[in-house]
Amino acid sequence: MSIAAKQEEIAEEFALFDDWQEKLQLVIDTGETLKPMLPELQIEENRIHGCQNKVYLSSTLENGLMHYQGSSEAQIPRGLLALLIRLVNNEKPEEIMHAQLDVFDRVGIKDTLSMQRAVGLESMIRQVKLEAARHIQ
Amino acid sequence: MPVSPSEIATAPKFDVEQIRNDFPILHQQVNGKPLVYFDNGATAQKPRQVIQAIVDYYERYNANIHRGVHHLSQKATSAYEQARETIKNYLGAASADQIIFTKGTTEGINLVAQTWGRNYLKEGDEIVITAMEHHANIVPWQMVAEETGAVLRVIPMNQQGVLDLDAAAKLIGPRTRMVSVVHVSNALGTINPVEALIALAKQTGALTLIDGAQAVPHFRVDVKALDCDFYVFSAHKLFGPTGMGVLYGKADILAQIPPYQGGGDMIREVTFERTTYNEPPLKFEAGTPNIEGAISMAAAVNYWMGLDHTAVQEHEHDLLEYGTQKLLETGFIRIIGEAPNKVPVISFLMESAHPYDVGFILDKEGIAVRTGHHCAQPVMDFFGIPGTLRASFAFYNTRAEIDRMIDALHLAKRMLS
Repeated sequence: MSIAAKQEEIAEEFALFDDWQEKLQLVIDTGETLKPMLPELQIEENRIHGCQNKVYLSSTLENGLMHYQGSSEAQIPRGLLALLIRLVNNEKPEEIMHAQLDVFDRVGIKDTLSMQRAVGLESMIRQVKLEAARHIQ
Repeated sequence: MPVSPSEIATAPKFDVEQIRNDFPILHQQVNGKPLVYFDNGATAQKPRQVIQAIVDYYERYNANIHRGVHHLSQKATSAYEQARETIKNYLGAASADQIIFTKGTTEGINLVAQTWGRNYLKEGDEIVITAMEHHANIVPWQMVAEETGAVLRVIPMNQQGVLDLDAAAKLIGPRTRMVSVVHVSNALGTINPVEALIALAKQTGALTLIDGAQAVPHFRVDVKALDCDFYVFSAHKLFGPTGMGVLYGKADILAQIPPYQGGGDMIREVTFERTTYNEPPLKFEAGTPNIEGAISMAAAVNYWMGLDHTAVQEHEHDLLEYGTQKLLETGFIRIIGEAPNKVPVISFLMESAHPYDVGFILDKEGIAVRTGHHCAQPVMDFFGIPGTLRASFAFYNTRAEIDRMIDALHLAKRMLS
């Protein structure tokens, strides 16, 4: 499934809910589905700075496709990370680099997550793209 | 000490609604809910009188000070120096020359570390701080210790968040040159026995600096009675403007130590060969200062001094007791910092939930608290936690607002478990 199609899918899931509590609950619950990151990867060089809590991200390239692992000690950022990884996993690095990862704006999560900088969503998106760029060279 | 529900059944008499009318910012909705502002420890809100003082300055007499013969300059100079007089009276200092205007607490400490510290500390000398310092009272001393070979020593605290005075008595010794301690912990709310620490320092001849950033919004400080050598605080936590603060210093020490920065106002005479310096306080105030900051800080102090302090303290104590009890009644809150002597600051955790997630949900409910390490990472390390939520109250807060926070915490608990 393309990144665009996955964004549509996520948008539909969030469209089922009207208020911020339900949307945020979906983010939190999605975090529970995030595959645990190997402890040896939770190191300083994989840390995403710009988040109030500790968030880690690492990636590998297998058969030309990106595979991400991540972790966050707080639940809301963990949910966002899980959504983001779902969007970009098993995609080509070039596509990730050029993708408009705007589902968070479209489904009203961004309004819900008004504390943008604290959440570190933008830092996470940037890091996801940087990882992809690193594998292109 | 815990109180029984009957003891806190009614709030003490204090016309908080009238007080709240002085603070325009409090009357707004955040995320569709009336704002509850419990982040006073980070910065306090400003009464109309302070805002008006800033507006008045720019609308009526903005001019550079200490250097103009014209009407506006003289008026601004006079207001600026009157502000110094106001702060002198407020702190109980002997002379307005002992009041140095700074950018805030952090600059005050850096000023002392960089002027006194760099010139008087030598290898093996000791600087004593406490385990509950804000980074602003750790890093400047570490920097000067690195340069001079001096050593930083730390007075420990116990699990309640109370300093160990016996350990302090052993730590403060013949090699101690400076005892620089926080009056009230920003992360825990503990009021420290600075009088005892100052007395210990005096026995050894060490100087003392008290970081009063979190003390001045809650109780009156008298530098003469304390007999400390330096006292620093920020205006913005005292209902005044940001970017403004005070360093009080003993006159003889201020006269001895070199200037902090070079520039205008701090000089007596400049030639290309040599410059002579002004007397304190101007010696330490290089460049055009924060004129409206000083004037509006004085307005904040005047406002604060105009309050009934007995009533304010009773009200704040009630908020602390009521808030503590309500938080503990939830059964899922753990309070960090249980010193018997506290200002109305409550640091807490919700079971295993990350403070950030809880703070986020409180914000959605219109409630502003601080989350994180509160610029006191060693305190968090001591308790083995990444950070806390901190509700820090001011006299304009109410029990009803605490009830709102408790409701929001129940919501967060449901969402995060």
